[in-house]
Amino acid sequence: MNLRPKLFSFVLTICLPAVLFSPATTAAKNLKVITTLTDLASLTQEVGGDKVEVEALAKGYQDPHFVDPKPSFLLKLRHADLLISVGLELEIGWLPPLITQSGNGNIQPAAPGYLDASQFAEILEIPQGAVTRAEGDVHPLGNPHYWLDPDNARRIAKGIAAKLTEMDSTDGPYFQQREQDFEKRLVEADKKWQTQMAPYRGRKIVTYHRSWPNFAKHFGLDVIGYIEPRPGIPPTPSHTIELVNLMKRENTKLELIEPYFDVKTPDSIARMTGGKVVVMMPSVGGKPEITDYFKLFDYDIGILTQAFQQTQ
Amino acid sequence: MVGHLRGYKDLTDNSNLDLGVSYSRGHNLFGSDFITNLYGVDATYHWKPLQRSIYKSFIARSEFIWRQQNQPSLLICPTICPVGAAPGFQRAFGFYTSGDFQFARRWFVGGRVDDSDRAFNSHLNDKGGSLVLTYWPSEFAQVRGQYRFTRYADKFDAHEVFLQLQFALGAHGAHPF
Repeated sequence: MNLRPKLFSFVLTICLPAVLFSPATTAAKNLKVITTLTDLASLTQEVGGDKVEVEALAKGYQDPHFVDPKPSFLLKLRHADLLISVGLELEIGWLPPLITQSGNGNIQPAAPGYLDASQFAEILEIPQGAVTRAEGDVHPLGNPHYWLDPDNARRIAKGIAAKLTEMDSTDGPYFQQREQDFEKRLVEADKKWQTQMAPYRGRKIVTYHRSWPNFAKHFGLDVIGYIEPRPGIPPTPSHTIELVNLMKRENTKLELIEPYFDVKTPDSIARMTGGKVVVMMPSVGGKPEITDYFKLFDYDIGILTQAFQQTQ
Repeated sequence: MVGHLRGYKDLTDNSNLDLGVSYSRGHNLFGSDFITNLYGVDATYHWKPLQRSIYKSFIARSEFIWRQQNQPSLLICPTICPVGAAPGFQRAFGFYTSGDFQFARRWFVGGRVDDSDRAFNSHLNDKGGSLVLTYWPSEFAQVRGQYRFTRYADKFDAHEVFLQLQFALGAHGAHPF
C-alpha cells in the first residue's frame, strides 16, 4: 500500500493551519498595548511605531471619569501585553473591574504589563491634609489631567519607551530612537505654541472642571475660578452668580469647557459678563481632525488664541 | 442546578445589547419526588451617547420565564399543598419589560410592565405596571417616587405609591457593567 499520499495529507493538515494563522512567521509579534485614554495611545504610537498595536478604551470626546466598563473592553484587555493608565484615580470608577475580569495576569496592577503614566509626570494640585467627599470628586493623589502639558508628554514618552524596551529588548534601540525623534519634534512644536500664546501670558480664565491646571501653568494662564462649585457637582445658581461677579471684578472673559459638558450655564455666564465660551478639546480624538498629540495642541491653541483676540 | 449563558455585542459606540438564557432545575417544596424547571430568556439594551453620557442615557430590559413545576396530584394536594396551589403539573409563564430614560444630569423617568402566572397555580394570572421618577441629589443618594398598579387574579386591583430614599455611606469599589 502506498502510504505517501496519506502521509502528505497528514503533514498538510498539520502544517497548513500553522501557515494560514501565522502570516508573519519570520517577523516578531507586535506588542499589543491598550491605553485608557487616546492621549496615552498617541504617545505610545509615537514611541512604538510599527512595533506596537495600540488602542485606547475611551474616546477623545468622552468624559474620562465616566466610561462604561463594557464587556467588549474585556476582550481587548484579555489579549493585551501592556496596559497604560493615567492613574491618580482618574479611572477608578471603571477600570478596576475591567482589569480584574480580564483574566490577564500580565496587566494587573504591579504586574510587568501594567504602566501607570502618572509616575513620570509633574503632578499639580496635590491636596494637603484630609480629603473628604464634602469637597466633591476631589482626586486625592493630585490632578490627573497632566497630559495637557507638553513637558509631561516628553516625560511620559520617555517612560513608555523604557517600558517597551523592557518588554521587547530586541527593538529597544528602535523605541529609543523614536522617542528621541518625538522629543525633538515636540520641542520644536512647543516653541511654536509658546510663540502663539506669548501675547496672552498672564491672562485670566475660568474653566468648567479642573482639567487645565497643567495647560495653564505651561502657557502662563491664570485660572481664577470654576463653573463647577466643586469637582463633579453641577453649577448651582448661587455659585454661578458669585462666579459672574468674580469674572466682572477680574475682567475675565473666557470660559474653557470640555465638549462633554452642557453649555447652558456657561452661555448664560458669557451673556452676563460679555465673555465667550471656548469648547476646548482635552484629548486626542476630541474632533475627527485631532489625530495625534501635536494636532490636539494645534487645535486648542488655535481656538484659544482666536478667542483671546476676540475678547481683547 | 443553575446555568446562565450571556452574549454581549456593541451595536454602535453609543449602544449595546446583552442577551441571556437561563436554566434552573431542582426539587421544590413538595419533596424529592417533585421537580421544578425554570427556563429564562433576557435582553438588555443600553444607549448612552458618549459625548453626553452624564446627561442622557436609556436602558431597556425584558425577561421571559417559563416554569414547569411538578406538584402533588388531585388526591394528595388538598392535604399538603399551600392555600391557592393547584394539583398536578403546573406550566406558568411570566415576563416583565422596563425602560429607564435619563433626561437630565440627575433625573430619570421610567416605566415597567409585569405579567405573570402564579407558580403554584398557573391558571391564575397577575398583571401590573409602574411609573417611576428618580432624582440623584449626588452619586451617593437617590430619591425615587413610584406609582404601581396591579390587577390580581383574585379579581381586585391595587394602586400603590412608594417613596424611596437610598444613600451610601463610605467609599466602595467600581461597579462591573
